[in-house]
Amino acid sequence: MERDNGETVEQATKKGTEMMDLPEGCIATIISFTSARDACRLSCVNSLFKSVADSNVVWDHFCPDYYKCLISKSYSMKELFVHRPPDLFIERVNSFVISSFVNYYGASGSTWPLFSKQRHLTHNYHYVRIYNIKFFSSNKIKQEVAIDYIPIAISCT
Amino acid sequence: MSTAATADASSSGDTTEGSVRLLTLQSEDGEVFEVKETIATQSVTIKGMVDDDCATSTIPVCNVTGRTLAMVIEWWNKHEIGAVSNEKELKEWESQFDTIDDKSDRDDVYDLLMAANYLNIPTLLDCCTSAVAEAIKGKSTDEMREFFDIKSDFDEKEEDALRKENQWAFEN
Repeated sequence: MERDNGETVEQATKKGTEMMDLPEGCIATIISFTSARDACRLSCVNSLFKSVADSNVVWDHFCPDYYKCLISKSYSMKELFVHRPPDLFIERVNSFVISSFVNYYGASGSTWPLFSKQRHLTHNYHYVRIYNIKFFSSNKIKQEVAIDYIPIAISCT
Repeated sequence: MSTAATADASSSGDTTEGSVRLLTLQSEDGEVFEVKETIATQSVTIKGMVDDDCATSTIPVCNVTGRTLAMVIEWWNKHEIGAVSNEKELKEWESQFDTIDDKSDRDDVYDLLMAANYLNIPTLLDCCTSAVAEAIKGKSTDEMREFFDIKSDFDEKEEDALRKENQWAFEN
């Protein structure tokens, strides 16, 4: 391959691919194969890593599925995961969220998330446990898997 | 197992060997490889070319050196249906790609990532991306920089702010 001058030819043969040459999509896949904490540390490496490691593409892998119902313009998925801004949950937790959950999971047919009646009172928030209930059609056994807690302000309940 | 690639193919364009069509691939540095079409179509990019009838002459593989292309072809050969008798054997063979022990391993994986990305080979891309991910898991930010051989482009103030913002990831 012809190049401008001898120096660049020498440089090009000496140096192979470097991390920074890789397409952003590749870097995003690499980061999404690590963990949420690794992704946070990676975002401090340099500005390219920061832009990729903070992106929704990456955090989509770390966030529970139902966060997709909560995506808003004011918070990125990383902020949802790390800071769990209560105001967002308060704002959306009423009928909207419940119907989104049902729509979201209902579409897949077999799993339905439900709010349990069991509540924990901590500080100013109720923590409501969300269950992912799987119905096994063959033997009608249902398995409850607690997937997360959601904070709800007392005044809202 | 001998590789199906021959480095000194004299003719360009497709040839047939028995009923299997051969494709000619040329690396960035001019090395030429002849590969069975059934094997090369593990690359989504090449499959697209074959489907569109664009694979009739030499296919240039930009950004990929002969050395890397030879490794890619070895990967294809191993992943051809029926080439390896069981899953376990294949996993064992793949393990040479999915661990990064030193800088030369790391550089090979970068080259393979570039090639896998350009040629769109999902299995190889998966293997290499998870290899890099495994290598950086649990490392501190400074260790990550050292591993990637890159320098921070943040000033001290920015870095402090970032560390504060991501503080939970630095706590043990």
